[in-house]
Amino acid sequence: MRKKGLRFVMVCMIITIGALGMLMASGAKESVVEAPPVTITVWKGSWWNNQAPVVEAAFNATHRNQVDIQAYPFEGLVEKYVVSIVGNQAADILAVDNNMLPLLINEGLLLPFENVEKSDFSGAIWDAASKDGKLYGIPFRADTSGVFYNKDMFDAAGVAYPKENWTWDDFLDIAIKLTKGNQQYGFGISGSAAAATDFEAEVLPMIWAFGGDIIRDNKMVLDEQGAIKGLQFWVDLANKHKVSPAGAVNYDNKDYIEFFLNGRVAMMMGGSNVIPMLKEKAADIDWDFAPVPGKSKGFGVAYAIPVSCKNPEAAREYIDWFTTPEILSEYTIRMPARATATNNPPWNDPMYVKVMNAAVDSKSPPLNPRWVEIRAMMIREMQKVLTGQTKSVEEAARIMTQQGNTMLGN
Amino acid sequence: MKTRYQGYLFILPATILLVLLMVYPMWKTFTYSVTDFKLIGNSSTFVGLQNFKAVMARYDFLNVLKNTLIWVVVTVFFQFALAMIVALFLNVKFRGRAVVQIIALIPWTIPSVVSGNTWKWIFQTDFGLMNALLRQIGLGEFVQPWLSQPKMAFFSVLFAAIWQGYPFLMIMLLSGLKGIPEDQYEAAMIDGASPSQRFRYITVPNIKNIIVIVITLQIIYAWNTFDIIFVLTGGGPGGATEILGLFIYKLGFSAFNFSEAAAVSVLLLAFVIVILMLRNFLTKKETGTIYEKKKITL
Repeated sequence: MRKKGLRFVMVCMIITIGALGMLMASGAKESVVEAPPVTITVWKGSWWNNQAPVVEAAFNATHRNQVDIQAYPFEGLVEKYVVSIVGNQAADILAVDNNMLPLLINEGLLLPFENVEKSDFSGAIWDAASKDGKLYGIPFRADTSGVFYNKDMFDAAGVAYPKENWTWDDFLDIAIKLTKGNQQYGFGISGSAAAATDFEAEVLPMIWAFGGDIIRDNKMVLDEQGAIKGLQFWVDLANKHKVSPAGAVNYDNKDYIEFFLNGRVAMMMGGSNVIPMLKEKAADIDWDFAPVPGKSKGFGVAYAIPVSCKNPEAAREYIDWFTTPEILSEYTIRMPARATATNNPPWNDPMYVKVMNAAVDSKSPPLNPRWVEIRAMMIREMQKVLTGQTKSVEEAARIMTQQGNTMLGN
Repeated sequence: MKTRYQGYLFILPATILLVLLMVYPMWKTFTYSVTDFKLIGNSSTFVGLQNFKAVMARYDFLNVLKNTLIWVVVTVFFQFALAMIVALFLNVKFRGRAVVQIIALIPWTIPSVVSGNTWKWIFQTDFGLMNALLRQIGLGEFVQPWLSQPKMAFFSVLFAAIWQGYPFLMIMLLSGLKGIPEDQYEAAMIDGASPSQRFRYITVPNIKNIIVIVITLQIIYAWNTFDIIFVLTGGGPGGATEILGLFIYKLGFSAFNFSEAAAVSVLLLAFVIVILMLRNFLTKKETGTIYEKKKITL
């Protein structure tokens, strides 16, 4: 009996020691895993300046790791990214748009993401962030360019509003009717070399609408008839039909917003970011949005982690948090890249819904790392056509194709 | 020996700063220009003069070079002429001179991006201030597409750059003019020298060194101009206002071709060195005299 009791005590001791050991071991293991909290940095465009503290507060209140969002002007952002990544000084997370993505991916400056489902993320920006089956950016903004129009000016000229399935011919017809000498213009083309994205938002849909393209199988195809017709249509708006201001070669969207607010142009291109601005500044104007005829240019922004990132796990934690539909819907200030994040205000506002519907059928600019360079060259050559330095669009198309192919290494 | 050693110690901080901030970046630029530099892994292979050849073979290089040469000559000439006129005017004592001097300095104090945008609004073809003003005062026939036609755009950007840059030269020249002893002018007037003779034989020789220095600095600055052109025209229309500074930027950050961008930078640096050597040659006599007179030793 005594022996039995002794055995019981020994078993109990062994179990207790074993349990204590396991507890200590697990405790020790936990202390190894539990890394000290880190502060991750995020670089975004300057328009996030006011919203950054709100997002920071929301994340920091619910996470061990903290976030510091820094906003910089869009001009020079890609330069800052590249120089900082190469110099190991970049933020942990970079907001990268669809034009910068192929370039940074191609240069090997971004880390690939693992285990991200396509789910309800917008297609155009998702494609721009992908290469060879790997994903290098998780989208948080998806957008498209369409036509904002002044209904008051339409009414005054007795012109019917754009229909859902309007064509570029309808567009031209309307623009002609809304043009009054050099005091009022139907539309404004963006020829400025300082705002390349505005140029591509107009020219690409016109090229696509006429069956053309810019790059196919890493070769320039601007000298094909479809592309030439699209480019000709764009040039004719200014030079032949004169529905665009005389100084269009040096204007961009910023200029046209001023003209639009002053009743100088009846139609202008823009994305969803124009909506809050018009709601605030154009309260006395009755305005609306119409998708461009045919396919529009889709664009967006994704969160990417540079190769120089010091805290990739913590960076991923923030990105996963921000791109959750509920969080994205609440804290983003531009149109969300996820369909399920658009059910709440302000994204369910009818005007945003119109832009979102237009974005469904949008097409991405060429997903080529040389696109930014080719686009700059295209602007220069098309400016020469607008100003008469190059005699015809055909000649410009030939020059652009030749130069573009050199840039592509053909 | 001890004194000599101490002398080197005094210049050591400045030497370290110079090496870190000037020599090292210049060396890196040079190495990029002769290598096939890749961003990833900072890797590079020696390619000799290939980048220089590639840059010169670029479709727009000659046009950019031509624009740059015209840009440098015209901006420096007019900035200097305007600065000299204003400096001579401000060297004369009159009531309210301090206020005029401050007003004359304003263009230099405004950031380039701000003045670029201001001039963009002024020169805007359709609803800009300049054309509106011309129409209002009955000079509608002089209305121009200031930034929309290649030649006119170049002229307009030049005008904005001259306006922005002349105050620096003006203030330097004015400081030189104030240092000229008054008795030299008085003696010349007694001898019957005309205003142009006084300017030629007293003013210019007295401020010769300052003239050489400000012109040198302004030539270097003009070669590197970027911001005001970028804001006003972005180099357009059709490359009409594109000069080397903007060309380097586009090569580096549109094409991501840092090696070719570095090659153009090296060419630009070579030109600046030639200009500096010329400046040293022109001011050698005076410098040598001072050196010999004061027998400065470390």
